[in-house]
Amino acid sequence: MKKMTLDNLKKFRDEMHIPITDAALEADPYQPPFYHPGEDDEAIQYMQERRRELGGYVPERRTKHTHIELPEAKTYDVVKKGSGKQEIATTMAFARLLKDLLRDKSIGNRIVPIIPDEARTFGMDAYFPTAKIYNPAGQHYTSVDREQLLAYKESPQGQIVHVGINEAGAFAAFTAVGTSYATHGEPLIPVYVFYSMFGFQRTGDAMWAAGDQMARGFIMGATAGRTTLTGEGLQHADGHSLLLASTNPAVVSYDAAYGYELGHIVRDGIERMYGGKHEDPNVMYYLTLYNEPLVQPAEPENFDVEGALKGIYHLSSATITGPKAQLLASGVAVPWALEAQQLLASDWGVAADVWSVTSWTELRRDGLAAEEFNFLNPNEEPRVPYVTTKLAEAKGPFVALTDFMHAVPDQIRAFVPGDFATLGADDFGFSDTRAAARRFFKIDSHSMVVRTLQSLVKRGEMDPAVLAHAIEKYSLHDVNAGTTGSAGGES
Amino acid sequence: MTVNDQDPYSVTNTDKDPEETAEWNESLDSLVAAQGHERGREIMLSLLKRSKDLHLGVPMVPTTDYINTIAKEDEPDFPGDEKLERRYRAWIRWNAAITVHRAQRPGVGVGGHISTYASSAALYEVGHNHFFRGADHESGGDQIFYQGHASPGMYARAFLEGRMSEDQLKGFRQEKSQAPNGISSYPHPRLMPEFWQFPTVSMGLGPINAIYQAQNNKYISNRGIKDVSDKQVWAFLGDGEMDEVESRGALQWAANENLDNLNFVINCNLQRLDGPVRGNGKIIQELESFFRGAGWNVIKVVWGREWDDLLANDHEGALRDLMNRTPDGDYQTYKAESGAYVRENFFGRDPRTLKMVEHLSDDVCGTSSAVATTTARFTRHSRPRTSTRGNRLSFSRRRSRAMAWARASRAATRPIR
Ligand SMILES: Cc1ncc(C[n+]2csc(CCOP(=O)(O)OP(=O)(O)O)c2C)c(N)n1
Ligand SMILES: [Mg+2]
Repeated sequence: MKKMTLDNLKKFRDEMHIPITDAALEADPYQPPFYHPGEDDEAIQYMQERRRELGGYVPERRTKHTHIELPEAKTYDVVKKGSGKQEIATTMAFARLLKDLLRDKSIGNRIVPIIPDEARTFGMDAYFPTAKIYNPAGQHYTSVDREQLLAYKESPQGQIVHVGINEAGAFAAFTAVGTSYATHGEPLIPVYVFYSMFGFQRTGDAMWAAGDQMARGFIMGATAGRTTLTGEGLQHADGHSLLLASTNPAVVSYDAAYGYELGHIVRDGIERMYGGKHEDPNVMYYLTLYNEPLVQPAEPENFDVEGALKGIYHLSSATITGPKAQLLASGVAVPWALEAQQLLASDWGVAADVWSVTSWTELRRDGLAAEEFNFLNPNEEPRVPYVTTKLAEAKGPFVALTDFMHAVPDQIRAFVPGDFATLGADDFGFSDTRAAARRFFKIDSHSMVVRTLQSLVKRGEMDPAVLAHAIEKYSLHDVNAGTTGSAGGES
Repeated sequence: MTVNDQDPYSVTNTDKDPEETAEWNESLDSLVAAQGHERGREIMLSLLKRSKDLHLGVPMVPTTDYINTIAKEDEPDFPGDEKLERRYRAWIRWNAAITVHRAQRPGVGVGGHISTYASSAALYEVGHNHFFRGADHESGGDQIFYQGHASPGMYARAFLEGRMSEDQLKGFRQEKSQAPNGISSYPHPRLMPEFWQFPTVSMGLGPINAIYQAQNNKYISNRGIKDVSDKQVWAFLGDGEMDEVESRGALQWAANENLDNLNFVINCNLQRLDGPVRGNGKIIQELESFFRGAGWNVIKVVWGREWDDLLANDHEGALRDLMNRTPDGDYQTYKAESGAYVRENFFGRDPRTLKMVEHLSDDVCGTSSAVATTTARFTRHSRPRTSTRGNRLSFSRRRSRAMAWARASRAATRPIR
């Protein structure tokens, strides 16, 4: 309806039989009075009686829910030990962790894996025989793979919500499951696993609405990275979901490098969302997972859990003395930074430390919060961003590396106490080997080495001549000279 | 319009032997005259079945005439006090309109929609007075997805119920500046966590989320976590919104999952922001065939009581033909024009229908057509499979619920005089 004139108002009042006088409308035609006849009015009484009969008012949102006991720390142990000699991807590490969580007495049956047709890719067909796929009709056919250990098993009591190739539906299912604590007073833990490319950019609006609806749960962007999901090419190569995730205020995102990081992050997420103690449990965790097989290291002694949960921890110290540098990396790029650390030491005598940045976005949010506090509270003791404190003692230039676009690590630029350079993969992806793709985007170990040297040269800590030498030594312009990354992994 | 043709897929629609066809029609006519509608329907269904056995390839006809699905004589009585309900529905409409109007005043100018609620107030009120169960109900309460931009109506009702204050109505769309009395533009649980349950205003997300909410209710019951199988999910949607891929993309999925706890109510006011939803076509017919094809039960509520007599006297089906053939774009024009215009351009298309309204004044012609275009709407229920007895029982239960709904909302949409 367009704006109502005084005449419209009078006519509408007459049609609606509202006992308000002309004078009352004329007094301020922009602010006509509301009408309530008083609660004793016969019609109001009738209206209330109807609602009483029907069980109370609608709409109404309630959040009282069943309390659930959370698993003990040892439930997460499977990812602590590392993978020994076996090479496994973080996707597989997560699948093993989830398998143990599904077996947990207190929360196991409340976990709802939601999968749009990639369970086998992600190693989650492991749950088919025990957890089974939910189908209200059961399974009325002789399944072709019935003899297989991991046969496709459907049941009305099945736990896995398998929606078919249907990310929009999968996310709608996530929303319903993740708000069950309010809608039904029964907390459920959705774990939605999908190709990361088809998450935030495909169903971002639904994820925004889930944030509005205060859904809780885990969103697992599997096959993350611009160069890690080899061979699949442009429409599959995700170098930006973390950036998109950062735009949703209800999403807490992490880019874990190793299984043991994941273990702590998942545990912290479950405690925050379901433990009943956190002041803001209405969040969703977005975790990237990669499909590149690598030896999963065991959790380091004295592991800095707080750092990993806040977004950054010190992973490895330089073993030589020399010009100092700080290598920051996340996710699948952490091993590349470790290799760069070796090369810097052996080829150039540079003493580099390596930091695993589990969440660029959480660090940025903390930094912004500190800035805002200082802006509005000039008389208070200024807050220092967590990442600034963490890196305060670190010497030398900072170089950041991820398998994502520059803007992901650039999120913390303002809070890094020193020279800061980022490497990233900003263009459309393509299909090729991991090594070639990483060299093409200049995000491989050797590119990190050269970028670090360049920062040191700029600070006057190295001879400028090393740059041309290094580029030539590593054949940096030759995509076929790249060596960063193994073959293999499910996709 | 192909949707109205009996066989939109036929290569030719000329009749090879009209005389013989006429004889068949006559037999059917006399059967119905002698033994009634029910028997006529039985014979036709059995012939259709036979045609399948003979592999005649008769396509399923997905649409019915452009009239109410539930015939007048099959309608149950209105379950409440119509007069009282109509009285306070008018108060709600007033307060909803004033809420928006005040928020539009110079210096504030934060806008708001009012016609959406105005065109659906009767539907919502039938739901509020007779169907939607609250959280204290033994079922645990229903889940209702309100059409986002109908929110002022829900605030206005909460005000009459005494659970929202006048200051809150005044704080519509001024969430921070009128805090703690600011209320949100649309359903946003994060902003009004004790009031709204489901955010719906991004068109298309309401329908798909409602489908998966209904699935979740089944899932959580089947797995023995909690029995919420008696809860119903209702989604109130716009006809324009039905063009979103998310609105239609999971419909067959809902039927496959046997979601007999799910109801879509689509307010087909034929209009979206820029123009008609289907100017040249008929959105109600299109949606009917689409939903039915996806395995849903469809109930159309198109015409108000004013039309009962005209339709009852439409012995040759001339009026029904006219209704079937008139495109939505024209209906919108009739709604906006005078009774004389409607007489000339709608009824006047066929001498028989023109004669049918001879005795009516221009005024009545005008009112009737207005009713026709503002109350076109559906109630939808997913159709449970009928393979087991239990399901069949629940099917008939749902069906009667739907019929009561249709009846109630039709009664409630009579113009207020
Ligand atoms: C995804 C999305 N696109 C656009 C809009 C803007 N919008 C608000 S109301 C409206 C028209 C809705 O028409 P309809 O669904 O027929 O509802 P009506 O108001 O006619 O009941 C549009 C396009 C929106 N809310 N969401
Ligand atoms: Mg509309």
